[in-house]
Amino acid sequence: MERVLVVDDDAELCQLVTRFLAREGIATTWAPNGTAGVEHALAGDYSLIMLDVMMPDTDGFDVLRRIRQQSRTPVLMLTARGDTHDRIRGLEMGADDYLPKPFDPAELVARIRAILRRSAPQRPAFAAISLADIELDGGTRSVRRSGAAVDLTTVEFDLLAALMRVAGSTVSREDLVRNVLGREFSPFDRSIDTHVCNLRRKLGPLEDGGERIKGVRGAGYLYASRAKAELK
Amino acid sequence: MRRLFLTIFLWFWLTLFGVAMIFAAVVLHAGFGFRSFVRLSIHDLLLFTIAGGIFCFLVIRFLTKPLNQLGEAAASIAEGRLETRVDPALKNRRDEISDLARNFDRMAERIEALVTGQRRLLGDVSHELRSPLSRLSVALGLVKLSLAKQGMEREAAENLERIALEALRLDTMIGQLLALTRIDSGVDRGTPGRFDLTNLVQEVANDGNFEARACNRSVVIEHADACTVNGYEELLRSAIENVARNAIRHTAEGTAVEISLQNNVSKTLLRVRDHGPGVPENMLLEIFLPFRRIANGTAEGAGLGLAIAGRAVDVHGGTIRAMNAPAGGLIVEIDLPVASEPS
Repeated sequence: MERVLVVDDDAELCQLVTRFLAREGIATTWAPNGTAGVEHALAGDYSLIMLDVMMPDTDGFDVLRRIRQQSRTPVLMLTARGDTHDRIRGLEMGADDYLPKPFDPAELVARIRAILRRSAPQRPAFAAISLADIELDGGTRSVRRSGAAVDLTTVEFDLLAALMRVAGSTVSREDLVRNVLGREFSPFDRSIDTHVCNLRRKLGPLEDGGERIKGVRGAGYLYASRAKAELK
Repeated sequence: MRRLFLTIFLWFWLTLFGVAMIFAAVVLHAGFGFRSFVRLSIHDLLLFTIAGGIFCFLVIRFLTKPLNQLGEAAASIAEGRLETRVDPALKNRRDEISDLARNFDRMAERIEALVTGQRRLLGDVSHELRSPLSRLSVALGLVKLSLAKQGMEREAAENLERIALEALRLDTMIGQLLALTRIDSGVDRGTPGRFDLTNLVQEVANDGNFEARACNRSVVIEHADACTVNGYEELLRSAIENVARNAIRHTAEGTAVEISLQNNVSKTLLRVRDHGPGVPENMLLEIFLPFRRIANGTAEGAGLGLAIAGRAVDVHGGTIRAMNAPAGGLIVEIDLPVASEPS
């Protein structure tokens, strides 16, 4: 049974969520505030953390930062609908996905499943990809740039892999959302773009100073390369 | 050197110089018998003038320096650094300027408290209103789950969907109201910068087209010049998105929302046109006010989208206006100042 940690100050909501998730075969633990949340997150063995960033007495982003310093457990952020600022900030700080609150619990389960699928120890889709200065190891899910390790979240890793496998050709935003985030594309949702921004920031420009991941107006994104990626 | 400083300095110094000249004229030429005693020469006068100049400089700097400091502090607050206070050294003086500095700080404290309070209230309202809505959605999910097992009547299912839809509407309205208040209060806008407006419009149009296709409408870009503007990208995105989605909602089935972007040297003109019923002439200004909807019973939105667009455009020093197209349909035009070349 999957175990999910819910960090949210709303006890009644958590009861309802627990009841709903139980029917879907997901066990939940509740942490009523940020401090307890960080303690549980670092001590317990959870497959996912649901974190409300709008708790009145704790800064959810501070909780996220403290969890990310020591743990790479996937984090699903709960944000206010329409608050792009919070959403971008959370994704930049290493959250795996977000869900605007109030949410349809069926949608919550779908997101949880999508994240779990991504982070589950699975047979890697590829052993390794290397292209110019970047090397991806599909087994350990680690990335090296010119030999130095780059710390990527699971989403960023999958996104980079998706772009590098077809380096030089464009991947549409719809395909990226479907294959990387594991959900249907919905217009005006910019989370995939925020993840691309994070990747750009973490990987820096190409060795010749050129842009590594190019945005193709109206089409999608492409990993800039003349050579084909070496797939093993 | 500033104008006030220069004016006082020259005025003070010339006065001093004049007094010295008169004194010298009287002493040197009238000859009161002091001559041998004082023995003033041109050389002494020159020295006196220079010493006087330095004296004037120091006195005036003593007066204008605190003014500059106060000015810098005020500018810093205006840019949003509300925690700014004047240099404590200013308040240790015992004169009118220290009074001004103390009052300035009191004012700054009050502004900071008000804005922090406002920000806090926004967060609290959002949280307090949304918590019951969140519980409602999850409870609704649970009901659906139980009823799905027993097999649900069609009418019950429809009513449940209705409850879900109304909850979503409430939530959207809260979100937009908060967005509007946030724009007005100037908090959480993100960092301003130069960005590619053409790209932004293209992205919004693509997303809009995706949304429109689902209901047999479309969004097309008829013309797009290269445009770069200064400002808050996310804020302008929400402005353009709101205008575009409004147009998608009102354009007739099977028609396209047409977008064009022109670069007219000093300003850009974004035009969004739909093929819908248009707006009565007397409502063309009002549609940018919150909760003003045209009473035709079909309006779906909360009546806040265009208000958000209007305020966001205001923040960028632009203008927004609506007009009916001669052939039918509504045109919304947004003017924005073009970013100057980076220095």
